[in-house]
Amino acid sequence: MGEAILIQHGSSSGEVKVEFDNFVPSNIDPSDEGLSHSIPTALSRGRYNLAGASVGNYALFAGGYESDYYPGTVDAYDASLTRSTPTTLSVGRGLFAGASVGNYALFAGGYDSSSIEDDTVDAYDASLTRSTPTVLSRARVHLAGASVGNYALFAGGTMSYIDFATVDAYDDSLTRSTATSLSAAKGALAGASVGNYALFAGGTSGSSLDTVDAYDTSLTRSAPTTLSLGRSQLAGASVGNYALFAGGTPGSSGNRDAVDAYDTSLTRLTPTALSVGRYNLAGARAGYCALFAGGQRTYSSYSDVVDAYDDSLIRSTPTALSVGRWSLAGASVGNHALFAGGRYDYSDYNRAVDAYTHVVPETILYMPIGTKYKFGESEETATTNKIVVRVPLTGYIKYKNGVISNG
Amino acid sequence: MGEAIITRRGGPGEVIVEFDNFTPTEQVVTLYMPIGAKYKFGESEQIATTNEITVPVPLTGYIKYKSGAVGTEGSGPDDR
Repeated sequence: MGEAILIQHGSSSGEVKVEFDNFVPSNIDPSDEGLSHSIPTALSRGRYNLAGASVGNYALFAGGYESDYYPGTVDAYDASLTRSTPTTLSVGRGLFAGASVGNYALFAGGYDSSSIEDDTVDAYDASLTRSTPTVLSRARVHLAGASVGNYALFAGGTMSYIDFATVDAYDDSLTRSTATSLSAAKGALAGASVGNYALFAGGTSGSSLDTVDAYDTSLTRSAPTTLSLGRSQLAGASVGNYALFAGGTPGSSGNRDAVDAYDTSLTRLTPTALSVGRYNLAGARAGYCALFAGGQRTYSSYSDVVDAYDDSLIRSTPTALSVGRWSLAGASVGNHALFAGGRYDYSDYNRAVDAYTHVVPETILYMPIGTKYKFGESEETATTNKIVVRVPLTGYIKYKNGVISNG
Repeated sequence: MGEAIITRRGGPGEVIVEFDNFTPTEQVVTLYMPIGAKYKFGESEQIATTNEITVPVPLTGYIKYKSGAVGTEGSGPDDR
């Protein structure tokens, strides 16, 4: 049916452009947008210094320290915030890092229950089946994870009080390679991703560092503008066209409220600072917001504050955590940012999980496969007959003669 | 359906997007188009007087798009 029509219709240029100008469908109220807070089922075991990562329809929280050992527990939350408990880590450990690539969430390094630095890597696929890829090139703790293209990267870290600049890369087949080292050896750094880059920022190696390393999809390293302030034990998160690094400590004492944002060109911006300076906080993304939750204000005082940055880097402060705590972990699933575990004093092993859901008004647009449209940064080509677009709609569709069918 | 469209094909600056027994998972389908666009999902071709129409599934019919804007304020067709 379609072929003859496809050839015979349309303008000389073969397309017409229909623009959407801040359009709000009549059945949608944009004021419904916002961050809602809920409390899912708690972790199966209370712990701190755990790590978070996402895969498929799950946010995973793995490892962490409980009482006097690292149990290796893994809790998974689906997009309905239902908890399940996949196979434990192959080696219980904590103070390590998570990152995602392809169909895997990876957890790398950390202390084991003998307080020995470990080189183990565990990978969980979208069915939550565990495998154990090649170990890290060097055992270490206090490393950071981030993803770019077909790689999950684990950078920096410390072993026997010596800091390292090592960067291990795992591709979507879980094959390990070694990328160019960081520009400086350091631990307690943070990772985040934006566009075609994975960024590693801050950290410490005797003193707090402000250096930032960026790895592109070919794992080529570059050095963007440094952080506005050197700091360690900061947190990273991504939203829209930005990777954000928030909070931290200058080292000896005190906290930082600084936030640095890097765009897809690696240009640094400095959004409004955190509402409360703190370190050992956690970051995660919820829809079109990057959230930073909890942390320490001093050695012995915790924070329950959550700061949210939208994709224009505007800050808001959603409902506080149900329990103030530090050394918690963040991970994302669907439009939810989850913050799990942590501690509020030095004898606490917390089970709390807080979920922040970005309610985003959206609508569906229908078009022939192959149609070009733009409702974000760049023009895209439809690979299905329908796309979901955020309201208000501003952008365009370049229609060509075509057919919309069930395929 | 195809024959009817061939006899009704539009002039320059117009494209026709057909819906061929399309059954999305949504129970109610809202389609957006510039005011003045012509469409047919029933007995006869109609002209859009608002930026959105609601059509029962399955969808069989067409929209004749012309370049234009879909805006909250209700922009009219604008051949460019």
